[in-house]
Amino acid sequence: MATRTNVQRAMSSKQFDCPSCGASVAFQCAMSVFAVCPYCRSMLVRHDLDVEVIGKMAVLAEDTSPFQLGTQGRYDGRMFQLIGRLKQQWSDGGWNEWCALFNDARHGWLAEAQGFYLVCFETEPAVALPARDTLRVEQGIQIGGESYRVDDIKEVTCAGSEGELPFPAPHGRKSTSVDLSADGGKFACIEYAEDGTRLSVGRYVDFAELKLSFLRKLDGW
Amino acid sequence: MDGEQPSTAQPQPQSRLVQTFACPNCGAPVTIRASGHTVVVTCRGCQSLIDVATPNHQIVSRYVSRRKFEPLIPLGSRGELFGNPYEVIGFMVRSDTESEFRWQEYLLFNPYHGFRWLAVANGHWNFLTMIKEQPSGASDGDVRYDGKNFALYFRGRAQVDYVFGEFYWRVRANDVVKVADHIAPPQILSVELDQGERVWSLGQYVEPDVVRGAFKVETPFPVKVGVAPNQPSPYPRIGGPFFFFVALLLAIQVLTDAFAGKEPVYQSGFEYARTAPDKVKVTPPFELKGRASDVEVVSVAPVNNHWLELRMSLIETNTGKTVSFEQGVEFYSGSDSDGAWSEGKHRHRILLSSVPAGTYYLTITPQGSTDTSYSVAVRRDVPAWSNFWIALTLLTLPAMLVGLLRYNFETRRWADSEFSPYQSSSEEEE
Repeated sequence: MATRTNVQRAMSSKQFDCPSCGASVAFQCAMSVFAVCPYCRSMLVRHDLDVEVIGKMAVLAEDTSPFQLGTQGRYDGRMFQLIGRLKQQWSDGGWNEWCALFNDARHGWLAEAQGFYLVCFETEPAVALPARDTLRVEQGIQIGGESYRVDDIKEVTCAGSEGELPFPAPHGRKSTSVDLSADGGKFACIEYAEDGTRLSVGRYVDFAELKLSFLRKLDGW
Repeated sequence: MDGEQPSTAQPQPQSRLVQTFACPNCGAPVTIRASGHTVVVTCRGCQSLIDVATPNHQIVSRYVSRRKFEPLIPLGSRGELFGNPYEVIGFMVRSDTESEFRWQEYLLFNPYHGFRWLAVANGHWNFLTMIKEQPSGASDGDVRYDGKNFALYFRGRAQVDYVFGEFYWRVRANDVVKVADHIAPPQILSVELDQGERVWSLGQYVEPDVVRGAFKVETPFPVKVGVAPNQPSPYPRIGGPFFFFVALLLAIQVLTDAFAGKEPVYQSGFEYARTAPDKVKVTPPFELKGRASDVEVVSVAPVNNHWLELRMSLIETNTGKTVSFEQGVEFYSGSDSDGAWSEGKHRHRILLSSVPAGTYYLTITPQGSTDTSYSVAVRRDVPAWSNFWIALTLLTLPAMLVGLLRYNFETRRWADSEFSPYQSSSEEEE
């Protein structure tokens, strides 16, 4: 996804007026091309000079996520802030993928599923990724010189999003999500979607390890 | 993990964490405490299992259990375990398909720290956390995790007998999965093999009172029966320290012996004649110096087929303080059908302990079966080995006792396991 235009954009952060309600919407990460207006829930797609409204985002279903937009933390010595969320749904449940903007202007993902947390970063695969239809659970594949094993393959629908994201994520966005793991808590995910195939590599993390602040206040906890 | 309450951003509108809806089967209110995670939930009213992964809340099963089980910890209870608060949101009764041995599992939830399990079997409790890292050597037998060896303890099939509450996967009664337990007391590594996926959990033994206290349960918990697979032994492994102290003791004794003065203070030869009038000998005075220490007296007589007995007194010249003792030598030899034989000794040694410094002399009253020459030698500061043997015994007896108790505990721990390293061959044949 890191096209030349995106890299050039990575140097700037911009404010736009929501074409729908006039509220000011910030794109903090230069990689972001999509944002949900926090006031009117309009879905905005950024072009070079302006933003386009592509519809209205549905209200996100309530969950017990401890995170919110603005939550800050640390990972491998770098600070990050959560700037967007993708709420994913499949037949046996759902999970959140939070887009994290790091202080070196890179972005990564903090995913939470079944009470586990993992941090991963999009990377360009060294060799072409296997086609979606060829992958099977328990199959081994090589990623970056590491042996990974396919843990599961899920057909996913986006249940909604908020904040800003590096790709358009309207509710109903379909994708196939393939989770892989390797020794030492290493994790990889391949997402096959209409707008492209994304490979992310990272690892499972402990909640306390992330040294989080500005967490969501959960009633009674 | 720390239990620190994380700081939060600006006050947010209070979110409704606990969701409630009407049971599609009976209409009773059903609550969800881990919304976003929970996939199935049971209705308290009609025991139906309801799918909540999708908004239309379909009934999965109108399962009516033959038997209803009461959880020991009521659902909705909150308690702090291992530094974090958890809420009990799910309850499962499971059994081994072969032995029908039954145990209970409680699903715990904390929105920040995720899910944990409490499992109780035979009155023994375990606090379990799912781990994402696969232990090595995972396919068969013992496994390694976190630098520790976990011994295979149990392998079987677990069946779900009863579910109550909410779960983050599609659990249902009569589900059967392959399970295996590996132990490194007080820890246990359990694995469940479900449709090609291995799910590992690391458990820690917890005392029932800790669990009961944490969740403020009024009713007593079931009494502990037998020894749990990963129950910590009350008898420590003492082999290392024991051999360390034996070596230390031996080193002290050898060094004491090596550095002891063993200073010769008197030596002389005498003649014993049965008919002589002055058989009693009185030695000239000799000095014993330094702090009070052991005195060694050695008598030697070259008797053969005879005996010589020496009654001696060690007397301090100024105080007249006397230590009396006897020494005897006897030696017999000859030959019979088996050849030459001999018994007895030409030498007798005695250690007098803690003799203070002073000027001493010896009186010797000999009595024997033959005329003979003999010699008497006195040495100062000769360490005794008796203290060493007493100390060794005092060290060994309790060590053996603890070792036996530990062995007994370990055999009881492994009594129900078909992988017991303590099982005798006769038991294996059964």
